[in-house]
Amino acid sequence: METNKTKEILKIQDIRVQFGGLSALDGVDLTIPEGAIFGIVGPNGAGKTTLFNVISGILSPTAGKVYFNGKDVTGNPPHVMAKIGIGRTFQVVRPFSSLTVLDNVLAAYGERFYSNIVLSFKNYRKKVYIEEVDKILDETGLLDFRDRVASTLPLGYQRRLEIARALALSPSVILLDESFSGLSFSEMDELSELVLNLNKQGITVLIIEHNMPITLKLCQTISVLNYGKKIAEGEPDDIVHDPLVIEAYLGKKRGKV
Amino acid sequence: MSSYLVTLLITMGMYIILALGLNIIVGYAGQISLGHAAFWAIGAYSFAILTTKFSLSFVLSGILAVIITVFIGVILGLPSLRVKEDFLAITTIGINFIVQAVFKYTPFFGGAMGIGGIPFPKWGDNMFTNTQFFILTYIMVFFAMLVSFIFKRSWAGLASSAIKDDELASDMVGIDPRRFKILAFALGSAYAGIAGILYASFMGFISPEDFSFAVSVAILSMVMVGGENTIVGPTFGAILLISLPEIFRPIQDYRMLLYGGLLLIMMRFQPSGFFGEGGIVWRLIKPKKS
Repeated sequence: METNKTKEILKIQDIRVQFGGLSALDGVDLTIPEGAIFGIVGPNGAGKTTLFNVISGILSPTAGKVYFNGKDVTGNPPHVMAKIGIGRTFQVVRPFSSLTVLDNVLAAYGERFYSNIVLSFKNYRKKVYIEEVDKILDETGLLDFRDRVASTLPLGYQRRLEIARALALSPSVILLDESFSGLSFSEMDELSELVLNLNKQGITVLIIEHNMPITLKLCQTISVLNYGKKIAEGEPDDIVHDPLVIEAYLGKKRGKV
Repeated sequence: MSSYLVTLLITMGMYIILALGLNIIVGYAGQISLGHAAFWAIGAYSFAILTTKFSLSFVLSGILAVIITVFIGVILGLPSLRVKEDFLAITTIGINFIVQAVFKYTPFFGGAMGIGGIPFPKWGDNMFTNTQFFILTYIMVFFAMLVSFIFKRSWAGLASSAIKDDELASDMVGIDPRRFKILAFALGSAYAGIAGILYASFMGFISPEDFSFAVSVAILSMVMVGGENTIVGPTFGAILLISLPEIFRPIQDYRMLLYGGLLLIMMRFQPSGFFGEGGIVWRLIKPKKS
């Protein structure tokens, strides 16, 4: 590996996840430098979402370690991961469907109050908090929808809502699980704009994406997973020409007859 | 007021408290419970034992009874951390039967004969009149409503709503679901504890049969028919389901049929209850937005 001067914010070491006899992840190592936009690609079932589940604490790995800012955070539950600054979105959107957009984001903003029993009983609809959340809604383009019930939003906005919710945690790393899928071209453009903006503010972004043009455009480094193993890693240009990657996506060249 | 009406209103008040307590567990935090009568029983029995066997004062017994109910309520709420939805419903039914059986077969708790001679509260040297007891009950109802109101607009209330909508997503935004589920069970049990004290003291005699599974169903019906996740809903539900059998006295025998039928009709045509979101009452009051 190249030696980079920048600090590594997230380090994944020899992660293995076993579902019965199936190895979803089979010894994956990743090092994500602070401030990067880092892409994770691979065919369906390669273990990408499983990897996100491990990083965000939804799954405990069978073996291996996750380091965040140099600290071992392996196996912490999701709310602890959220507290230390790891936000994520879900591939299949999971908004708090009966709450308004504002309340959805407030629910995440409240992360700083939940561990204190006295603060927990304070009124959450205070002007200070709402103003903070309005800033996030403005940034994610949701301000016009703030009083709409989340389940009534179109998919593109529900995806933004998930990002807004993750941002309310003031995260240092944000994991986007196929946030671009199912969006129109103009929605994709707006969303990549948003991702670049967040990155400029110093948030490290991890992206799982099937849409190659977007991935190649946004990411500085891309890791390719296949069958739970990392088969390639590098800059976008190198990745698309890597024979192993082409093989994983398109199959082996037929041998000479 | 006639003594019949006062008695009826006191009973109604107890059920309002019970329904509001269950509403915190079911309506706010989304944890189905079909065993709320068990918490009520624990409150009533703790109070009865403390006053009759340990001769403690009304107030001290009351405070201790609530603490005991909350403590046991939290322990009985622990299954909600592991099982969900239908399984939690069945687990809570089981809890109801177990608690009832413990009171029924333990001689210390009076067995099937129950416990008698539970004292009425005193005002100075005089026993409370029924009217004074009525006032005491409704002071408690007021506090139950106030706490529900504060909870609903608090961070804890917001966290509970988030857990109700999507537990995994709530975990991912920094909410510890275990913490707030237990909190909901603790609050709901505290309400049941207070209702238990009022019941034991007012009746003067309690037996395990008072806290059967059918009672749990009735309390849940109050919450659902009135409209879960609101304060006015469970209150209205309790008033409705307590007064209906009185209004239809001639068909008293068919009370459970009435409950069941009402619940069925509500679930079919008005699943969010009279006062729930999009409920029939709001549609009648508020003009439609065009």
